[in-house]
Amino acid sequence: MIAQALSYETVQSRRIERQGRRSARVILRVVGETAVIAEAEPVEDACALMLRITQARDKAAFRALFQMLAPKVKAYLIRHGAPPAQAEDLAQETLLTVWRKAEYFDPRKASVAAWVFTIARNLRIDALRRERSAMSYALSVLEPDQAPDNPEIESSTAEREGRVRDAMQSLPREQLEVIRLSFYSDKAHAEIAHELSLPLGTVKSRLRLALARLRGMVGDLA
Amino acid sequence: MTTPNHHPAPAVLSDYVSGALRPAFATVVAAHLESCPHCRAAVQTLEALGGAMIEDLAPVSLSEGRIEQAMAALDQAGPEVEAHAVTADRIPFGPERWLAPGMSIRKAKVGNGEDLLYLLRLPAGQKTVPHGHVGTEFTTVLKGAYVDGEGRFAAGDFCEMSNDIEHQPHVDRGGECLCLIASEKPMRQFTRLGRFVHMITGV
Repeated sequence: MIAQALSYETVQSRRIERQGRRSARVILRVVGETAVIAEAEPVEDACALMLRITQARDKAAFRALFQMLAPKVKAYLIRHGAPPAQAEDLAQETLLTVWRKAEYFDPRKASVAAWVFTIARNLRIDALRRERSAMSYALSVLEPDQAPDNPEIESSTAEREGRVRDAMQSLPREQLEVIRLSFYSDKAHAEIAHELSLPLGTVKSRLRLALARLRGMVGDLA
Repeated sequence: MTTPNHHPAPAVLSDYVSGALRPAFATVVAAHLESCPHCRAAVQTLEALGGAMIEDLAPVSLSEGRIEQAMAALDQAGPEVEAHAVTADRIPFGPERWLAPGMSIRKAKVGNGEDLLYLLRLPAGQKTVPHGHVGTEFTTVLKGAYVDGEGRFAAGDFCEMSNDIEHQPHVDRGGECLCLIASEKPMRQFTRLGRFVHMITGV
């Protein structure tokens, strides 16, 4: 059962209907410093798992998060040309970094998926290009911001994640195509233009319009 | 500090977030982000998008035993990851090399060294002659300001130049100008020094 200090609400979002996998989502609002105990049925939210990791170093939560995200990260790395064995190593390392750097996770700034994405990207750059990306990305990934002492995790992260997803789905096909090529390959926009036989300006304007729409729908996260 | 007026194009921010920018260029973008809340917010939105893109992928199972391997590693210390913001003084620059009075260059080696990353110091009031660019060039102004046909570029401002663009920067009289610049390597090393000489002397 849910501890008394927690209030919760069940949100039937469009996203969940679309995904169809999760029948409901429990969004936890943490009041005070009570450990988060959630009804684990159905699938627990990544953010709730992450809270259990940061607050209680909960290994069971890590196991669940690993099962949820490592196969996705492996898929992402394979898309980027990593051989399966290396993709697996890096996916494991990504999730281990989540555990080790959990105190840097700031749910006001990023969803768990977004944070995991930045970690996987950096590990990919480090490994595949044999470069240290720390210098060029430290800012966005491991910004040692004051983590909230008393985190009041409202539905914001999950809602925002849903808004990003909705915004993504609402993008015109040609904008989404360019976005997908950007995130699922190692190609810069100039190479994408070349690949699609489009003028550079066209690709640039599609990315500009897509970003404007995303920001309009999602709102600034800062 | 006022916020910058000149920003990277969304396509550049998108390349930065997706990881497609080579390190020298990513570093110059990061230097801009340091002083630009507007672009930092855009980067966060793009990272959220990256997260959604990862979640949308069909999962590829890890082999048996991987998860137990990970669980066993939880109590071990991991490799140290530096957690700091990018600042110009964190970049491993080489020694300052004199080019002309008040004008110097400090190169840094990043990544595989396929691109150039350097700090260019220009004296107050320095006028350059019109010059073009070899390949793509990113600049973030760290200190001081210059004016060219595109406007005034002060601390934090970002500028992207490409092959066909010519400009004639003129450093403010008020003080020297310090720029962090990434550019594709010219075919022959000495042509770059030649270019600086050209910028000043017009020869």
